[in-house]
Amino acid sequence: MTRIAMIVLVTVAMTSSSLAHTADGLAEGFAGGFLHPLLGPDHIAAMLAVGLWGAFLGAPAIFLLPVLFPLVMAAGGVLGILGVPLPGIEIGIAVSAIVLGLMVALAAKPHIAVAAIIVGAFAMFHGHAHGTELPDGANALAYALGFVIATGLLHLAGIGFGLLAQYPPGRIAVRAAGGAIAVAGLVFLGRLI
Amino acid sequence: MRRAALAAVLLLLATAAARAHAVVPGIGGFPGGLLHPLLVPAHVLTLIALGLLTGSFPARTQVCLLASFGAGTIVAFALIAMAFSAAQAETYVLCLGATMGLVLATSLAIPAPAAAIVTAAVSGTLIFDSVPPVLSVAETASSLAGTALSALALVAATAILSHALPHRIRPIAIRIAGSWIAASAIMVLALRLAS
Repeated sequence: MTRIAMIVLVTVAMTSSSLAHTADGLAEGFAGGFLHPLLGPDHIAAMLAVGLWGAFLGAPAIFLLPVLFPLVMAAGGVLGILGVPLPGIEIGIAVSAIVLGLMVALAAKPHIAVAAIIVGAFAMFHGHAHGTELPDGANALAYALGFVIATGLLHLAGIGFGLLAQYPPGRIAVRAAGGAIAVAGLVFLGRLI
Repeated sequence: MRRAALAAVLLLLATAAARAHAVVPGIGGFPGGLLHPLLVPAHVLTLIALGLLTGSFPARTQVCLLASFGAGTIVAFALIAMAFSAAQAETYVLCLGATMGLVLATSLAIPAPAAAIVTAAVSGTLIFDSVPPVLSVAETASSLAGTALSALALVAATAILSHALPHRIRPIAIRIAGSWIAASAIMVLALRLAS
């Protein structure tokens, strides 16, 4: 009897509440993820530049880049989560603001495949940075969804502003915004070096 | 024999502590089941992806897909009644969500029979992942009935809403939503793989 009681007690002690499937922490997880890209000026600058450039390039880039970016960002995030190192993450993020800002400022219109490769390459750096900070636990999906949606909304904000490029004064304003993003990228890079 | 029976009873009581599926503590039965797919992020994401996928088909195919959702639910009910269980059901739900997200993001046209199989798989895994932590058969059945009903309603509502979007923005909005769903699900799957 004592042995059985011991087995039962040990088993009881091992059955901790897993709570992996409750609604606890959902709002916190989503809010944390949503705020993550919004609290990093380097992320904001690069995301806005993606949207601005997409609007500048017109169809199909205007919707292809915002679709491509989260997917490649997720691939970068997977590398970060699995602990696969990617050299110069922060430098890559700062350079993304410089390059993408310059593309807008110079009104560069490369082939869509070239634009996709440039944006995709930088998305890897952003995704890796997000992936390494993804919290483990029940609210991980809410966190991931939060930061993916915030990233997407920054793209949409960039696209919204970039649509002004249809008008001559708006075109100047959009190119100026691209220049400002490139300068901000230089500042971010200067802080890292 | 009596000692073994006592041990079994104590062990059964102990399993109640692992409240892995009580989404809102204190709300069980049919209302708890109704809330379940709406409060578990993996379920919400996957059901929205399924709704968007369903909405991309003609109205007649949509009805067939909703019927295959019902068929998947009935099969899952039958398997649960025969004491089958799926330990990693939530991971399978997420896998299906990620796959459908990728299909939507890439605008890949999948045939209706394949969509019907995916729909039945989503409803089946979702039901397996929603089994409440109760021993009562009646309460389990009412909770799962609530889960199936609200999951079906979410899929149907998403399909109707996606169909109601203006034609100009519908394909773009669906592709963007698909990429967001796929990206979120892929990262969480990687997190589970890593841990």
